[in-house]
Amino acid sequence: MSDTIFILTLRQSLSLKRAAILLLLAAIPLTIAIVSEILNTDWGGDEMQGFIQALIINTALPLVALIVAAPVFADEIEDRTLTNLMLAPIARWQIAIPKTLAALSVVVVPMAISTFASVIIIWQADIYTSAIVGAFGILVGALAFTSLFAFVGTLTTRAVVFGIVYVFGFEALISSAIPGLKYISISGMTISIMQELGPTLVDAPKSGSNAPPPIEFAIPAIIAIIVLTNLGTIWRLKRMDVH
Amino acid sequence: MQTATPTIQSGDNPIVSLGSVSKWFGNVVAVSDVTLNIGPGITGLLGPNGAGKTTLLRMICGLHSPSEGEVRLLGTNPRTDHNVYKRIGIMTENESAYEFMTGLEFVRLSARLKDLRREESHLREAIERVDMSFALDRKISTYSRGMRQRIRLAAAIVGDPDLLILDEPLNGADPTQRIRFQNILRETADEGRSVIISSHILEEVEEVSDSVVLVVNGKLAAQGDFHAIRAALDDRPYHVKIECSDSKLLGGELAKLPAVQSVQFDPDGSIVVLTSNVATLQLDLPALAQTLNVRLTMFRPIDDSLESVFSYLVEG
Repeated sequence: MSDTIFILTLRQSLSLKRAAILLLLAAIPLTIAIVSEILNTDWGGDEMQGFIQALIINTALPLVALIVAAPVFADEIEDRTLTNLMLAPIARWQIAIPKTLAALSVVVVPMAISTFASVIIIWQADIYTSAIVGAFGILVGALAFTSLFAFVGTLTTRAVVFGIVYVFGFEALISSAIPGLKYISISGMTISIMQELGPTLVDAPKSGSNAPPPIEFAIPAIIAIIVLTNLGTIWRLKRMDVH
Repeated sequence: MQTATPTIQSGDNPIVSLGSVSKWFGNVVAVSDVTLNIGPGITGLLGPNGAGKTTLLRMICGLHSPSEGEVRLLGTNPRTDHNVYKRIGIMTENESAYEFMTGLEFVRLSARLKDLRREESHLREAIERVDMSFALDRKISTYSRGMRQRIRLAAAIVGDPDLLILDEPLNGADPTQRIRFQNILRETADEGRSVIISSHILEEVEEVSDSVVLVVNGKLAAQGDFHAIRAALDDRPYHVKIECSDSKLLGGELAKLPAVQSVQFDPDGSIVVLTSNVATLQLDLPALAQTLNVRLTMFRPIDDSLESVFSYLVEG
């Protein structure tokens, strides 16, 4: 039954319109990398790292996760199709987890491929290690963002609005402007983990408002976000009145 | 008022058991202190729009948690024991089908969610029963309202559940589909399975139900054998509008009939009669009109709506 819900969610997530937006966003880093290569742009180390951080981790990844994950439950609630799943003889976690994993798959595949390929095209040293670290970072960040946005979708049908405010307001602006807030930024945690695994790929500042949290904080924090948001989704499914 | 009709005898193992169940949304009380048992057979859940039928059914199905009280469905709490859904087919009031799927895919989804890895022929059988074979490969987004209702009924009946719960299933159905729906319900009951069907239209439920539960303003107004309740309804006073060729003459004579409580003349020339026995009036009126040589052009109960029936039951 879990595979049925997984496949159902894949089909929902890959509607023509959504898939087009998703591919467009995921293709941006790769397009920039290809154009740079054609123009023989000489990327400095800082520029490459900025490319990974600002464009992929801080912007494209959370946006793609938002577009895919926020509607996973919010649309089912709004369209009143969630009753089909809630009236099935299955535990609520068997609804929550396959749906979140399906959304994760839809986010990770194009984003990881795009990141992996971008790094291979523009990187100058440790190409394959950096590409794998980049793709792994995408997986970790995507899991956290997807779990968060899917959970928010069980709380409100306006999860996309919340997500846009969160991505552009908190992740992009506030968390960089106010010292210490990077500690609770998923992008910050993702960058911290990538920096630990492949220092050449990401070289974030060690101090200042833009500094990501230390690795000893980032790993448990991102695990806590993933676990708590998924538990929250299951809890909501158990408690909610389905209309 | 609770009618003096017998309560449904559900035996020791009622299909549905509600104990002092209430449900409110903020300050709005949707269902208030309902206690009832529903037994086997076809049970009609009847009430005017906004009476609380859907909320009650949603609590019975486990889609809503009661604010107070206890709900038991086939002996368990559906909010915690989801295995109970293996034995139940449910069709909610909303048109909650996945638009991007074909009819066949939707019925297949329903079967798989119930862990029924059945042969394709069983899915097609369910679709055939609701007369939707001609459109099983068409996307649901192209279906009319009636077609959606039918494909959702097919999804509910696939796997031959012990209990069918249908919320306003005849909405959007044309007369032919209505008859087919009613036949399916009867077949289901004949096979020893049970059905709970809600409607705000008295006649819809009357044609298929063994017993009824009447809900008004979120409260249980009456419960029991349909025919006993119907008899109680027949004794209620009705307003009847009559149009004829000589209102003055006919109205004067009507006032003398024992079944007539009062006679009023409307400005449009029609007569409004309050009768305590509409059946007797229906018999007496043509004879009276013939005697007086008055031509009758209309005879119509003007307060036969379900709301007025319920008002009578509740206030009576």
